[in-house]
Amino acid sequence: MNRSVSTALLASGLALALALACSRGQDPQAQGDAAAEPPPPASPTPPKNLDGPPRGEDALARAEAAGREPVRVQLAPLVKHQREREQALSGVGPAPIVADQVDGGWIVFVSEVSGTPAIHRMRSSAAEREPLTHGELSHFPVAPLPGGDLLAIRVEELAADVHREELLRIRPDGAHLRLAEASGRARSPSVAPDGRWMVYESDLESFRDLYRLDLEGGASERLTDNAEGNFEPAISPDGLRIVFASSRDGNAEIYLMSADGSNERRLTVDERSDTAPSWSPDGSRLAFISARDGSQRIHLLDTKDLDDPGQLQPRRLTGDRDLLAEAEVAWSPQGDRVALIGVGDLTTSLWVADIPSGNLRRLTDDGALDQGPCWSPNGEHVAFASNRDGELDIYRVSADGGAPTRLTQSKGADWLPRWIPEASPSPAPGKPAKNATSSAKSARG
Amino acid sequence: MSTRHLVSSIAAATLIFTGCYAGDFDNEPNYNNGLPAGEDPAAEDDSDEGGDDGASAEDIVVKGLEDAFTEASKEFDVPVELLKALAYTESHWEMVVGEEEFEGMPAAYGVMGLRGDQVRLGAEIAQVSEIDAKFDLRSNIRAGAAVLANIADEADFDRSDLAAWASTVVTYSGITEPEGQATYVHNEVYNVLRNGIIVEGAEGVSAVLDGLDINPDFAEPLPAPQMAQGPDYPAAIWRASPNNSARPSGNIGKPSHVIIHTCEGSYSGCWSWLAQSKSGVSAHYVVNDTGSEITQLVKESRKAWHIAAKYKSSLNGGKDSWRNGYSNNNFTVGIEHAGKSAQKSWHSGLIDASAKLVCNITQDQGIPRDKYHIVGHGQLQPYNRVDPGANWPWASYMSKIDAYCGGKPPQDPPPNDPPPQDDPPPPNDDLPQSTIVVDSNNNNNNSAIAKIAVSGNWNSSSNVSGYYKSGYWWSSTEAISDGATFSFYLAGDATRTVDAWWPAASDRSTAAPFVIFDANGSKLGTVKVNQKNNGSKWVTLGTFNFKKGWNNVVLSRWVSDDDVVIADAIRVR
Repeated sequence: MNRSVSTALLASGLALALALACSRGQDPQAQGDAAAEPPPPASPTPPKNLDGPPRGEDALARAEAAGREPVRVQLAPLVKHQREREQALSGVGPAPIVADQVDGGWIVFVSEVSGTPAIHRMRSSAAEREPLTHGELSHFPVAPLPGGDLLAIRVEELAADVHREELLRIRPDGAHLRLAEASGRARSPSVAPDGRWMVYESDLESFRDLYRLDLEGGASERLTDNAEGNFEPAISPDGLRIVFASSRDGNAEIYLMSADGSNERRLTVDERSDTAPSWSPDGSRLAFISARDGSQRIHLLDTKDLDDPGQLQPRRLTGDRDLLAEAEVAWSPQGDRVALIGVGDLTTSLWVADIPSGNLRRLTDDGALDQGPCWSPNGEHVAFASNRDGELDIYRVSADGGAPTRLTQSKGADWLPRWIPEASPSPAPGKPAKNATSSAKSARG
Repeated sequence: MSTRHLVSSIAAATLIFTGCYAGDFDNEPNYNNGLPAGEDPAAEDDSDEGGDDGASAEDIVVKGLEDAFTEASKEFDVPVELLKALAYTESHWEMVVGEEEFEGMPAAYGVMGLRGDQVRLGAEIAQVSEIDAKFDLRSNIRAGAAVLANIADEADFDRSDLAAWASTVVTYSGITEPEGQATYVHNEVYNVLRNGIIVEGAEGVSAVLDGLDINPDFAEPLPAPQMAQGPDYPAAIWRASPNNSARPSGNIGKPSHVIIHTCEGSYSGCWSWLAQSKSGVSAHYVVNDTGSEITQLVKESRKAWHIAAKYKSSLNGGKDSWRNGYSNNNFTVGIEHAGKSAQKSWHSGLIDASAKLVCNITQDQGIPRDKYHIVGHGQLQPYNRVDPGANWPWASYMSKIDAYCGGKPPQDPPPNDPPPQDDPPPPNDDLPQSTIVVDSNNNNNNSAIAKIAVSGNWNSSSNVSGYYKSGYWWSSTEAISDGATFSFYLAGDATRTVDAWWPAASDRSTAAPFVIFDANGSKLGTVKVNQKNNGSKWVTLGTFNFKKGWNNVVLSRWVSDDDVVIADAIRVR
């Protein structure tokens, strides 16, 4: 043991002993003040060997006097690096994952254990983990489809300047079926509640527009046409309307249209961007991210006012003043709360807000980057990705808080969790899986 | 020693201790702790016990760094000041793992920014593995010093003369363009030497390099007034790159996107690489690491080759379109930023300067200012976690772009009372009136607005340091609420944020339940906190809509683990 560390240890032991001695036999509530008050320093300048390099205040004063502006190094990243490296060198991996199963269904996520983003799935206990995709192409999970299928996005980069994305249906037996023509961007898919159609954004014929895809017949139909682009569609829970963002009026605003693309209407008017709209599970509310107050915050609209533009007043959900921004809204299955990511200075953390009160509760505080919250089917837990232990891994936490449970620790990042309910054993009546995929082209390799 | 050290009783006791024993150590005044980080498990224990967020580990890292630089300096006869300044220029002293941003420019590793052959050479001379040369702090510094010494061996100069090292530094950087060499030497490495380096950690600041009056033996770069202004952005310096071509006509060639990139290296290395024809790549702009200088390389009306330079239209049937993801260069404006996507923080000056530039680009080109049109290079993937990196402050960046273009303030008014986390709890008198602290000791509470009540099953203690004011209450967890009730009075309905404070220790519950009630007795929420961690600071529980009257925050004992819960203090703001 080196000298200054041993000194610190001895000293801390002394501090404890001192505190104990001071409190023994007396009311600690009354005595605490004496123990907590630091005694005056023994000398005006501390012994240099105990305190490392000279503290910076003197140097700052000297630099200012000399007209210098010292550059500044942030120490935290080096501290983190060293801890991670020591852990790696110790040869002692993290303790085996011990987690109980807190809900059914599968947590589907991106794993980069092979070096390429692939889709894996596991139970909420981290058991039964298995890859759903293999090979050289990148895959990202999106949402469940009828019959236990999974909607995914696959990325091909066949050459240095070729980037193509395509929508994919992954069958329970592992078969992959392409759903639509590949394009540079095929993103933000939203599946209708009956599973028969979906809408997504693509740059097939323009910068970015919305397309409706018939999941049974395979036909695709372009719904929008604006040079500035249309983005992030979300189908209403009754399947009748689509909310989306568009920059057609100069910056991102929220728009609404019927499921067939007709009756387009603008819902928001603000010079700052309004993005990422989502429906509450019962369709009574719309949440979106607005920068109208100077920072990106969750805002709500009551859908009963959608047909009465005069009444349509977005309101902020939370009363928070500390976060730099609110992001990544995820509705609980019951619609009584949303999970969100709070953006802080160099960190992001997981929070839950009640609907409609906006009462906001913190779930994580680890100084790391937490991202991508998603709810367990029973609405009691939230899965998310975090780099608190070095690489990005998947964790889950009770929606009331407490210590998060780590669910992955394989090499390479694990992220983008989607907690999907157990598939119903047979497809819903009227849309047999055979028809749903017969027109889709078989995917390559 | 900073006053912040006086906070914890551990630090206080250290002073007492050294008061008795300091003389014993005077003969060994070095900062050597064996390794640059808290390798000694005792050190980790110490920081955990103190609940001070690893401040001890920070001290040890600073000392270890100092030692590693000193050791490498002596071993390879390279001035320690030069090693520090060069490392700062290359990495800001982060052990980052670089990416290959430009084809032909290998990724840089570690604080020394070792690239390609340098890794092999440095590892060989320093007799460490290439893995260690890349990923181990001490080995990386030694390998970097070895490479510098190897270059210096080829020349004949006085190694104690810092100014004479300039040519060696240039060779190390790999920059071949003369103006880039001059700015790298004068404006980057020797600028750091002249101004010094300060380390900022949770414990305060440390000086690790005092500024030196030194002028490198190297041709000066052109003075700024003689530099041409950027054709689209006068605040930029125009350093034209031949690596550009016409945008296609029609909509496809209309700039509609701003793409944010990271250089994966230093500013001078970045723009000088992009400015030479042999690199075959470019960007429209490069922003330096503090935002004090921007280079424009390509006119916005022309196509820069910043995304996958080797475009082959033959791959797309000769078509030059956005279809199927080909050539985003056609309709994008690309901005490179000095630094690496893996770095943990970005200088606020860089974010400011870049936001101002983006505002100007969007105004000139009519590009919507939203997240769909201002995107990171990595966002060319449907979901991404890299470039410009997980730590690029997107939220504040977009707010600043808006602010520069719209004039609205970029942020909500700051909260009333953000005391530094490690500062001693301020007395109530100093707090703004809107803030209420409810301590575990009613003697510390203003009884008109704050009080605590506990049953006989709660025990008073001050065994674990780091508590708020005087001591705290603890109780074993049980299937019974029997909570400690913190009450505070509000004169009207109000939205307030509640924070809690506890001294952390290993016997604490990982799910201590704070239940929040308004004055009508309505439950506003439950927040379970892990009291093993995050001790001795205010931890935000949440923001709630309270009512006029006495509102309550109850710490329940109802937890299934066999631990204790700690009622120390809450703050309402």
